[in-house]
Amino acid sequence: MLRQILLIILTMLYMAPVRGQDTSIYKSALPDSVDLSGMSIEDLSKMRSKYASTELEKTINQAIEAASRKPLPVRKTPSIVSVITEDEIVRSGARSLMDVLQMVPGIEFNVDVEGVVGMSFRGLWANEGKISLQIDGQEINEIAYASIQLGDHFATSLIKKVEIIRGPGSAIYGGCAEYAVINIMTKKGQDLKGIIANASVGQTATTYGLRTASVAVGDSVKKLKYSIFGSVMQGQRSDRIYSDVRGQCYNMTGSSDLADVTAGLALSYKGLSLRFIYDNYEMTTRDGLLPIFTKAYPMNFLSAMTRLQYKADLSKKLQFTAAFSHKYSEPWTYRGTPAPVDSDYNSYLLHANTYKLNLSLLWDPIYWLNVNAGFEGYNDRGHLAPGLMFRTDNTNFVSYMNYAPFAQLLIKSSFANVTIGARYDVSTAFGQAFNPRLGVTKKIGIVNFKLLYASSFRAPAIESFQYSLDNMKLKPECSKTLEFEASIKIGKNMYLSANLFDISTINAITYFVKTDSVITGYPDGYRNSDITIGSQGLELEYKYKAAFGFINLGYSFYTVQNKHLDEANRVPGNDKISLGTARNKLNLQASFSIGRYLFVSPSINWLDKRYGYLTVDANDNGILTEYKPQVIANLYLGSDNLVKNLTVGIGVSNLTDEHIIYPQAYNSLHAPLPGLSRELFLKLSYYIPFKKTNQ
Amino acid sequence: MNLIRLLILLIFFGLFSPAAAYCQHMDPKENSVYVYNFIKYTTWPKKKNNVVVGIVGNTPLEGELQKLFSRKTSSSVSYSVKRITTTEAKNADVVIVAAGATDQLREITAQTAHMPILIISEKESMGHAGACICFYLDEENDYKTGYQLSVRNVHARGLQVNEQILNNAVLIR
Repeated sequence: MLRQILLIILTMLYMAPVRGQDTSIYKSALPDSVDLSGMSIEDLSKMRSKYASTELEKTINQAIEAASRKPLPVRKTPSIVSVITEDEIVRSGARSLMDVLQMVPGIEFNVDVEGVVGMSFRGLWANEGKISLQIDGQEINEIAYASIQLGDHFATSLIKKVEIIRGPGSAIYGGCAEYAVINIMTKKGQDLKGIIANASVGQTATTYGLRTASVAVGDSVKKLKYSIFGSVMQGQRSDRIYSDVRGQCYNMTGSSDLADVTAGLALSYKGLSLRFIYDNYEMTTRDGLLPIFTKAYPMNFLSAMTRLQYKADLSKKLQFTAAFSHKYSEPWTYRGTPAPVDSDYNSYLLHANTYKLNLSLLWDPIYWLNVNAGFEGYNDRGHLAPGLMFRTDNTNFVSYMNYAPFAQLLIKSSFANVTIGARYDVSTAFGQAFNPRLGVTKKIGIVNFKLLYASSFRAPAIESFQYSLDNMKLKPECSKTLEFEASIKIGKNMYLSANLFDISTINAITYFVKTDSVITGYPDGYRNSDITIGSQGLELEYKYKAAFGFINLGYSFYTVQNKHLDEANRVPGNDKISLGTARNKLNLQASFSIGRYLFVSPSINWLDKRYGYLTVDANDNGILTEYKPQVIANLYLGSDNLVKNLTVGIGVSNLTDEHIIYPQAYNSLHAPLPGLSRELFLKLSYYIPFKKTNQ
Repeated sequence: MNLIRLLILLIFFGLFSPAAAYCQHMDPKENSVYVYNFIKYTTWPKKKNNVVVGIVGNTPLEGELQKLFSRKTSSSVSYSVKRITTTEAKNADVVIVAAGATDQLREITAQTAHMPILIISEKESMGHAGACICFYLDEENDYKTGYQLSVRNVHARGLQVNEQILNNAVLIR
């Protein structure tokens, strides 16, 4: 398979047009030298280039903010980075964040419990505290377990771009970015300059699919930039039959509702900015922890985040930033009373708050050196509703402080660019965590190389800490990640990057369940694993953008053959693969223009075989099942400006009506959760620009 | 490790594929005006009445400079542009090394060490070879022409550049 993929890429490389920048086809912006000779150097440097970067070059040259505190282009930033642009999102027909992330090498989706679908990364279950999901730099992982919930969550119509750091981010972001960072950047005032309204409806053979509506308003008036947005989404996880491991079934149509309401406000004036985001994700679940419930129950995840930031240029070379942020979270909320027979489901309401202060300096003391240093302190507070108690501390209120000084040096040298950084977290909950990083980036000809090493960690979140096994004090989980990337920009329209990675994680915070042999005391809970877990692998990204549209190819491979896994994540009899994830993943996404206004965008997401537990034997032991490779094909036909400022598209997701599944990536005897069947959908977007006099 | 072998193959195929043979060109007209400004805002230890600009290698910049300077001679300063060899570099006030001749840069630097000669390279990142100023195309900014400045190399030659040059440069060693 790998050979076939590489053969395709090599063929594409060979077929790429040999086309130097023929100046004759560009009308020179330059008059004769004589006329220019009165220009100063400053005038010359401000003069518009006679060339123009292609869309691909704009993508790979744009400054990435998530990977280092100093924005750097994709090829220079000291991380393995994927960038998904607004154009790619629009033309692909993606409607929710899950559609977008599906195209990223290394990312897979797996069921957690109670209908929640989260992410695995590079073959490792990564849904709690291992991937930092951010909206405009504000982390949206819920506070109780630091988990992420995907599926008809986060509308794409508001996204400007998504930056994915496919590697550790703790040296910058702390204890929730052990394996990766996903930063969703929304459209701001300067991007909008008007009003944009979006709507979409979807329909499967039997029921409604995803329905969305959103509106965003924004403008940039002198130094004031503002934007306001709101979106509602409503869909279903699946319209198929879910069967638990004991063979009990229910029809997910109407019992797996997903709904999301998001609103946001962004204001900035000179160096001062204010950002507010509200997100209320509501699910209906019946699949439970092990056996299915007798009826569907609602579950709610609410987040409200505010950040006030001030940036001041103290001198040409010195910038000071102060940011105060607050996150309110009500995760995993169920306010009702379950039926007595559904004893696995409980009423739960946690009011959790995080107050965070970040002070930092960005300093360029000399041309070859950039220094970033600062301090971040935050307070996590959890308050359970009356009648509920935290398990370890036997109270309904906990509060943890975390203090973290950090520093980073970016050094330019003739040998290479070097990044050295570290963050030292001291917590009243888990103790200490020191996370250094080292990155070397080097350009040789048209090839860019990156050699990266980073330590990263997962801080036990409030409930992980309180839900520890036998009241043990959880230590932070710590990973060492080594990565090497080579990337080539070929011509003006083609980019290929390939990277190798090696992850080793010690003290993995693992949820031990009834099926584990080591359990004592409480029936289940978190504890630090005694085993160093990890994975190794390779990822490829290929992008070709030209006047016809684009072709994006992503491939990822991992193995755990030279590593270890916890018992709960192992596939018995196979030491190369972890439970619930595919060793090989391939994405192909393309978009082809048809005439001036139309485009057609096919995409394919292929996952290799996976393993999970579908049934149990007479002794209630899981029977390992091999799931055949899964192919999800989508097709989207769109028009842009066929009617002025109107974008319309019609698409089919899951074209072949594949039986999509989200297997559990650990052995908790939860059967794979089905996804949605073939869905026909329609998307509309209408833009009303503000008059130029207002801008 | 078949994977690693394939990865290496991929990189080198990329390097030598026809598509990799791709380059942008600087505009010699624009560069000639830059050079004129570099001379204008550089101070030599001794005042120059005639600035000799020597060109090493083939470059269309030579013709553009000749055109430009033919109209720029004033009563106080005159300019002459001529093709030179590396051994003649010591007789020039400004030496421009064409992109295709940068292999001669080290030799020029060695022969003119500490002499007040402004060495300009048409190829980027040649500060380590002794260039004072190197032109480059800014790939991250629509291939805009820019220049790198090695203050160390400038000062080693007893030259001074003013803020006009300094403020718009990308500084290198």
